[in-house]
Amino acid sequence: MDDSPFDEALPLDGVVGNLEDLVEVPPIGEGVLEVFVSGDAVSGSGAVGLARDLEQLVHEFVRRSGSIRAEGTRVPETPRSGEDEELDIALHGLGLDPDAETELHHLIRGRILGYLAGGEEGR
Amino acid sequence: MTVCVTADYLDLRSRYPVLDPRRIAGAYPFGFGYPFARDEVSIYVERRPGPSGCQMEVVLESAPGLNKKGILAWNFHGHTFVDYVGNRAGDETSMVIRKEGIRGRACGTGTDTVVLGRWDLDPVGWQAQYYFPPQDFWDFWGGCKVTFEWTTDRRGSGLSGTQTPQPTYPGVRKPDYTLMRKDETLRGIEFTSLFLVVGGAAFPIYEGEMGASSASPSIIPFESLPSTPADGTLVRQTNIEEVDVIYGGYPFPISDPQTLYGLGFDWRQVREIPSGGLKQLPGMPIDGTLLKQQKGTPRFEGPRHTFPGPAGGGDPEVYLVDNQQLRHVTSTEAMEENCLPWRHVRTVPEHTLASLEPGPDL
Repeated sequence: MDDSPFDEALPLDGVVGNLEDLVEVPPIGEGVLEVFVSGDAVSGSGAVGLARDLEQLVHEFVRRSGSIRAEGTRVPETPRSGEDEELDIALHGLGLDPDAETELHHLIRGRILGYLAGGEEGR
Repeated sequence: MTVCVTADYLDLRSRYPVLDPRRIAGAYPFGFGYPFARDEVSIYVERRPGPSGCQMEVVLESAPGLNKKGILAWNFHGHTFVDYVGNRAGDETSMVIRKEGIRGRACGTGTDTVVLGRWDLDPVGWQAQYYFPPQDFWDFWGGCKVTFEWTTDRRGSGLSGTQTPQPTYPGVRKPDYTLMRKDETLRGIEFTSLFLVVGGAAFPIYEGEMGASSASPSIIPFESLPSTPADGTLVRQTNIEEVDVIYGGYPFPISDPQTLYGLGFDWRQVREIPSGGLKQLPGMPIDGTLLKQQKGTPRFEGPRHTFPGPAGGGDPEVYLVDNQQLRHVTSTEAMEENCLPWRHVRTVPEHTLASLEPGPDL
């Protein structure tokens, strides 16, 4: 006899996607821009606030540039900042031209340095 | 000192919700059904020893005949995977992943989430199919062994992540006050046992107790259910005044109405359980439970099952149940270094932690 665990259904504690609720699901967008922030220099709650701030910054920037692509997940990896070892910025799928990307790098860098300076003053 | 910033445009159609074991009745291990768009996967989550939620053991098991499946440890910063398990010949089927963004580690070296994928030949490489939102992925399953049983790729829900309903909590399989009947024959003698469901847990109940009747028209056949109610369940044993709130399967006594209201509850939420029902609950909350004692004059603030953390203006005096001991998490840094999510901290009545077995500070 086969002892495979697949031979017998085990009781489950939860199921994702209740079929009875399907018709209730509202249509929502297919893609979303997300910004993640981590590292030694930012604390957990501070990182959340900074990430929201940067997300708004990037949102506004790409909206202004009007160059975001709907199918952006296949864009080649963007070169990292390289100018400052403490600040590592990676932008993916935004579909920006090189000049716009450089500008966005500078804006993000400025915002983070401002955040770090504010943190130092607060200590 | 480093800061890692990643901006990525993510496809929501491939993103599926993460189920939170802490808000589901019962104790580890938990089994979850995941009908993805074109595949069915069962996911089993069990806690690993130790206080840290920064690591996770990921295991892939596949049904016979199912191949070219993989689970990729994905890093958004590097826009690539840092490790993987698969079911092709020679692939590892188990890996331990570490959360991205842990202090002292370089950007792009950890794992933000896992991507379930298949191996394609044109173009050659892993084709991403499904992934989980990173925050929930680590908050809910960090510190656990997570086994993915890939059952089939011949059927699925037909629903993308955006069409899949979000989980609802508390996670219970039967509604409160469901009455179940179990008929057994022991040494030729027939027995009938009754069970009452509260907070997703089954409590044995005597015929006639709380009006329970084996002849009730609404009674259903017995189904195996957890023995501990979901977090935030309020229970009162019949004919006893004391009310308890359940967190981590453990009952914390609420001394008076003011305390109950101060915790954000309402008397209408209190559920009556059979006499002696509390005896089936464990002597300590389950490992991984995060607790904080209510302090000061209680006042009504609405339901408060979660604690926003220091940024919310609260007191970061948090305790973790680890190895069945209560350990004081001494600082915000200790919370972060051990990847302990503030959203899981439950507020319990003042002085109720004193009866729990103490352990070393964290």
